[in-house]
Amino acid sequence: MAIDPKTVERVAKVARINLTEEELKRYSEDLEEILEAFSILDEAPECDSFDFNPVNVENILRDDEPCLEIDPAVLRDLMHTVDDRVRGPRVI
Amino acid sequence: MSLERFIEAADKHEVFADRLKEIGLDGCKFHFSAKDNLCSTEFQARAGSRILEGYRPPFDATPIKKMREEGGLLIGKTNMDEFGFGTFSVNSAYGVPKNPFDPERSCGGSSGGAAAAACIIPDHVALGVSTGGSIACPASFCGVVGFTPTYGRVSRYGLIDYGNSLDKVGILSRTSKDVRKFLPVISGKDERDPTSCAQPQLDMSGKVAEVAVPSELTQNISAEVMTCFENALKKLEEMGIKVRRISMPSLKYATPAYYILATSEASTNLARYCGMRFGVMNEDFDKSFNEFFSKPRSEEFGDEAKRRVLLGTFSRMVGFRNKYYIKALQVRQLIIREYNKVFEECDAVVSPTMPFLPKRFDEIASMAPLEIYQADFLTVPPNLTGMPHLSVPCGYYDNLPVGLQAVAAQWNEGKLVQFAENWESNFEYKFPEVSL
Repeated sequence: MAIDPKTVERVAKVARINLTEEELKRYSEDLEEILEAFSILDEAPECDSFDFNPVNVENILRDDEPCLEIDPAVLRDLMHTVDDRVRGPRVI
Repeated sequence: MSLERFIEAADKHEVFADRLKEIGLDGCKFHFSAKDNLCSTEFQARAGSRILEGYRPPFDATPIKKMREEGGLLIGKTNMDEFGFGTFSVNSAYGVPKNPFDPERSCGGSSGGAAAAACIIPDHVALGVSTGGSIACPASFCGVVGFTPTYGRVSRYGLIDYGNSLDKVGILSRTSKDVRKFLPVISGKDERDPTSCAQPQLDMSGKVAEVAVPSELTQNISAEVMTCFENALKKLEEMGIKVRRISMPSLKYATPAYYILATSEASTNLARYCGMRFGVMNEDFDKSFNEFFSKPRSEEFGDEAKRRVLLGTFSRMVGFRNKYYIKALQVRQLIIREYNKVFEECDAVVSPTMPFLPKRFDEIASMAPLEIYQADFLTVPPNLTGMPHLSVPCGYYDNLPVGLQAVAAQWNEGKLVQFAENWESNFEYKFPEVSL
């Protein structure tokens, strides 16, 4: 078995998604079927080198020149703000 | 024109030309639309997701900005599978676009709205986005040209991420002439997207003299599609293009490798949707961190989004990372090498674009998730490996379009554009009669 409902429950917790009983059952079955089919990857030959992108990407650094393209106030307006401060859930 | 209006119009097969006459071009040279995961200031950017309801970006995505600078009028955003998660555009929170050739059938996905717009609206350029085939598939189903450039050719700044190492912005239109005209417009280095800075200068010259057909991509294809494809190959030979039959054994690993990488990347990208920063806002400030963040994600993400976040989170977890994520990266490299070997002797790899005719919605409803993933086996290989590719209509069966996919080596977009133009001068495309 590639994955069991207990693992799916743990994965959902890590992903911050609450699953109903029905969802847990359904996604467990789906993932089991998908991973079973994907186990063909075990047969694929190893490859000595690989990258995280399909093309070569070099680190290109730009000069750190201060600029203001979007007014921070505009970005703040998109969120909950109180007295110019962003509101979020309680920490403690 | 709102997203809803696009859906409504697709529903009715309404002629957009009339509406365009009404609003006029407002001094602009041409009109274009953008897939709903590209940000622009005057429309919501919801990427087909309920969690982004109400999000209005304060900036334009680079490809949109460049189209405007060229004199384009953005007339609307097009419907799509939530965050690009789908093959049939049925996973949107905002309705399902219907195929202009038959409203009982899917437009393909995930850029389904873009393909429908390109098909129904004359002289229209639709910007689409492909991660695993989301331009080629709907182009095939809606009988239009769908062009996906090399990964990194077009800046992703302002694109709502699905898979960072896979997402590509491209063009859907009735004709490859628009690709020749607008690909140079949207391409180019952009310091806001470092992956775009690795690209060599766009070369729109080049020619396809010989194509390869891998046997792995002619298996499990419906008889209707295969008939059209074989006829297209005959036509290519009549046009003086050599057709070579080959084998690319590593392609059998492409679909699993793609889905592992795409969902891994998607699961991290979707972490930002937590009811605090974009779209739907959670107001339960007295809840704990985890409760606060989990609520909107559990309530607003659609079924397929949850499935992919779960699969991707699992693939990256300690103990499974080497087996899935790292192995998938290795497989991607293997397939790139195999492609490059083929490109030493051939200019393009061709296959059908989709293994079946545009599916009816009742057929789609009975498909299991794995079955849908596996239906992408023709479009996934070039997408996984960042190779430029296009789909052109190559035949019609029972009045439904069939697409041919051509893939070229990285950065060889010019060859593909020439190939499509050459094809178009030998094959006439059909567009459905639309009624008010």
